Amino acid sequence: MPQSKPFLNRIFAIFFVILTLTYMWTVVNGLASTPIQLLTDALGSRLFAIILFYSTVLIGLPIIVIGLFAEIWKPSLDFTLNKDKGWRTMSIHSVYSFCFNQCLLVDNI
Amino acid sequence: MIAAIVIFTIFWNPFNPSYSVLGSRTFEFPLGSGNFHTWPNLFWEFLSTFCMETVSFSLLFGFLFMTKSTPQTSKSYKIMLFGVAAFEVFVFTQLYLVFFVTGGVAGIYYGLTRMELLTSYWFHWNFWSELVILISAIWLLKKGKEHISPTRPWTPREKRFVSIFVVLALFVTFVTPSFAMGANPRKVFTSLIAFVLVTAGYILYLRHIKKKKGRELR
Repeated sequence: MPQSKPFLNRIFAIFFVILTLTYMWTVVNGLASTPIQLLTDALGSRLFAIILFYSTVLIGLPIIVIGLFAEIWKPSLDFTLNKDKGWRTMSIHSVYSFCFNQCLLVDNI
Repeated sequence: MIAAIVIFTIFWNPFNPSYSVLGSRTFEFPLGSGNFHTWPNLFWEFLSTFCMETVSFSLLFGFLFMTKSTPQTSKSYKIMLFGVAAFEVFVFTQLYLVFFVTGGVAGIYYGLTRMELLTSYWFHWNFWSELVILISAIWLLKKGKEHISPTRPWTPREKRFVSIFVVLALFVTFVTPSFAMGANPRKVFTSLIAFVLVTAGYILYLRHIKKKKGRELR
């Protein structure tokens, strides 16, 4: 895929690397205790709860970070707008959910 | 819309009169450790706005779904999609499956019963947004981005339906949380202003598209 703006791809990837690593850091550094306790209560096994909880953070997220680093190393994303309505709907739904979550947070402050 | 959210949450925050973007806040981290930190509000709000899995994934994959990138042409995109699919599978296993079977975790976490949570629209929004990302990731990895919908133009009736849906969705987003979490006149008023501003922006955007199409036809 020919890349006209690899700089933009790198900035995009760096931004999301920072977000994802910060999220991982907050989860691993203590915010995890409450959900683990809740999982333990629900499942009846602390070991299973810990494995299940940390597998989310330590398997899924590092793979995404590796993908983002791969993008920084060799930019290959094509940011040309896709005109397919189905994918646009998926996209709008996703971005809209971001806004929605934030509105709830604003109101909770 | 994202810009509006950034202005509302980080720079202005009308729901909290004592908030100042130049101020700072003190918090305990990790919770219960007795270690207190003081951070600038700007930094704190940036992290709390963007550094959550639902938010960062919504933005990251929301943008990527709208582009012509496909995992078949981009290796990094493929790795990211594997990662998010794995993440979502674990989230569905540990959060939603356990919740639907036992009523635990999510219900206790938010301090709501199973029925209260199931009748909360924000819970559904979270659930369906995670599901959309999971399904899209699997779809992209298997089939790429070729035509999930017919490429015919929208009929006027479809356009009207979508517009009504968008305005309703904006109303639900901006106004109903104020009522759901204690109707304070100040909050309701600010929510209504936010709703009117964003809806006006949406209408202006529609007009812009209409004019642009008109120019293209000429």
